[in-house]
Amino acid sequence: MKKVLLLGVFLVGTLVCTGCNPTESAVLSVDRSQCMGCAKCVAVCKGDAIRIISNKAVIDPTKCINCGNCVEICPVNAIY
Amino acid sequence: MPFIEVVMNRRILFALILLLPFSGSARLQLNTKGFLTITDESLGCGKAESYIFAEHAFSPSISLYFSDRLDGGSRWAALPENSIPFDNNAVLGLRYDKKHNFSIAATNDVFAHADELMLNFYSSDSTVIRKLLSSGNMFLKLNGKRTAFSADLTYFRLNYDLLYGDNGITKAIDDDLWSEILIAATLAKELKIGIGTFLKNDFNEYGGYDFGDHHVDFGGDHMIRLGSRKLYLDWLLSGHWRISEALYLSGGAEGPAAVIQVRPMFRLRNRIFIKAAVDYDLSKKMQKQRYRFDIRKSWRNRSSINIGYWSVPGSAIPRQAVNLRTLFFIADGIGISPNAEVFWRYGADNAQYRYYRTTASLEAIFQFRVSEIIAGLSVSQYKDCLPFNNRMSVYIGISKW
Repeated sequence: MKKVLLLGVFLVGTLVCTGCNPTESAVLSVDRSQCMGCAKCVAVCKGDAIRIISNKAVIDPTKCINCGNCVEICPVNAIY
Repeated sequence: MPFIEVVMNRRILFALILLLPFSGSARLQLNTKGFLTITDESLGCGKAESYIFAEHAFSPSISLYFSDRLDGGSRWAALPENSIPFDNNAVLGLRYDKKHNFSIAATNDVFAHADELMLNFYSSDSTVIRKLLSSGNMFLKLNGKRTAFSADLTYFRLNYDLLYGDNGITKAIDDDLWSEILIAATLAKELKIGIGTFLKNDFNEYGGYDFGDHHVDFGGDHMIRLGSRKLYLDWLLSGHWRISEALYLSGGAEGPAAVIQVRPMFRLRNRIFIKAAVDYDLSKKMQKQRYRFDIRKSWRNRSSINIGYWSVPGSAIPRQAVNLRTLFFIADGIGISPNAEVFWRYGADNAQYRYYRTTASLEAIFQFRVSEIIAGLSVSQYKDCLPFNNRMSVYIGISKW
């Protein structure tokens, strides 16, 4: 029960933090647990910044130009 | 490159296909779909998606596999689909899997009639047209009783055309090596620690696009009983050190960073699952967050209802969405799948990237032994959005495995 309470406190804390108005990130990431390796993001990337490694998409942060095409086309919303 | 020659040798591929029907351990998977899409700006665009996977096992530990993904059709009118009208990705790999895992694979991704890309990192004031992306991959994993080691090395070679104004086309090559090495140890009570490094070495003349991410991880994977219910909890605390000249110059998050991930899943009675995910990526210039929440109810005949919400504040592309995904088998082997999503993107400096999108789709599924025929209709409606057009797609496909 104590562990559940601790988890609850953590989750409430994170939800409160959504209002912090954070600075925008310059790097998009891929959630590997969700990525299916369909490679649609590779085809539409305007910066040639995405590669498929071991059947998962990986974004090169030095080449990503944040065009958002990968975000729009990803069928499982794995890019954030 | 030897691995490219192996893939391009038709006799070897033909021999592989001949071997498959004579082995009891051969596996074949086919997944293909054809689309007809109508957008605001075009009367109709055709598209085809196809995925084939074949595997032949020589022994319980050694197998050879081949996959091919084809995605092509006429040029689509709306971004982002118009980027590349055709591309094909072929993979030929060898896998060794016994006490430890080992695989090598080679891929060729063909970009036919690809769009021009404005990429300053190859050469300023020039455009790039991608032609062929080849890769060779080696993956090795060694599992001990309480320790694990993995190494993943991938070499990419991109052949592209470089266009300098009216000066014609220059053929060029870009080589990258991507490597990831992880060492992990299991502690008591399902706790894990690990260290790892992810490196990208760019072999261009200008090496400023190298990237390094070194990290120390501490995480756990727990199952907590609460009466007759179960709570599954995955969590990870990770300290990173990121190094990149290009990232630093673009105002990115070079230097120290912290990654926090928490994934609880609550299993109730009657096949009801509550899942959540919280991800933080925090550094000096970044406070990226992601929250996901899903409630799922499933039945024994594969029918299911999933209601979800996710939000990504602090990202380069902040957005959130509410979605409903369902699948109902109304008779033996016949199913329907109505789905809906409301998506809104906000916070961008450019007003054209603040928009709403609603997407609704309806699929019908017909099962025949080991194959499925899928027919569907999908409608996406945008509001206050310049880059993307409203579109409607009808499609039909077959899956066999």
